[in-house]
Amino acid sequence: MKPKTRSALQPFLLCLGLLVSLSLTACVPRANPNTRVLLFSADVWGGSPFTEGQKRRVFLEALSAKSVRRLIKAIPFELENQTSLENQAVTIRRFEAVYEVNAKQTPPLVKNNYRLMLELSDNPPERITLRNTMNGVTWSLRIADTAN
Amino acid sequence: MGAMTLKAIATLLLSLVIMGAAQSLSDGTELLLTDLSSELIVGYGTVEGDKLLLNLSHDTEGFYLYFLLPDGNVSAHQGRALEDRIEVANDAGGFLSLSEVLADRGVNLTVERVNGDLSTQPAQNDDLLEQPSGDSN
Repeated sequence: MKPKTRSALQPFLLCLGLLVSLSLTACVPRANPNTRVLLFSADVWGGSPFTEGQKRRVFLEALSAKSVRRLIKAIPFELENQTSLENQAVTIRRFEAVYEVNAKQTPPLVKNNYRLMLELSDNPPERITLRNTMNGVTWSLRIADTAN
Repeated sequence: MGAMTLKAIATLLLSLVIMGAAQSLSDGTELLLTDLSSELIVGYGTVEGDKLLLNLSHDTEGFYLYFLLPDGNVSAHQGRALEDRIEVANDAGGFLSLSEVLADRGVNLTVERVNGDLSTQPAQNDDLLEQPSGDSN
């Protein structure tokens, strides 16, 4: 005859699992509806900051693993010509260069981008002027045209 | 030993390095070329039977070439595309014809030139950028 320990524990384990799931769900940050993630080609921001050797190594790693591999580098920046009110209206969470190779598909997909993550207030300015301080490249970005 | 014999030996050695000694080039082996910055896929083809049709970007000059074998092994080599042929670098710093290297493994190479690169995804938001007033990049 099999011991009854297992069946007696099942309801307890189910409840414990449910509690853990609920706790984890509560910890997941909610997406801010005013967050914008924009992708730009690396060329417009002065090119990729990664060396040929770094990119080649990542490319080979992705091919060998038939997987996705990436390089990410935070880019130093300045917001130019902004009034203090506008500065509060736009917060740049991230400005980073991303080199990514997806070798799950053939031929692989290569992305070579700059990624900008913004948080906007309810009344954001129409545009901001962003300067890549690594190389001085500066652009005016039309915030008003960004979609959710 | 004549120059032709030396070239044949060099070609054989390179093909052994690329594909592994005494192994035929299996069906499904993929050939992948990137530009030297590894940002653009400039060439791609798959061995089918005894043929390999390589689609190659018109603008390609120097490149890295990768052999993706069906067993998962990958080998990488530098190469260059000339007007009438594709060459792969050997360890001695010279270049060998890719057609000859593949022919030694029983595969006939056909190259078809195509416009643009083969898989790079365009960025999505470049059109939101404008020159700042009174300034230029």
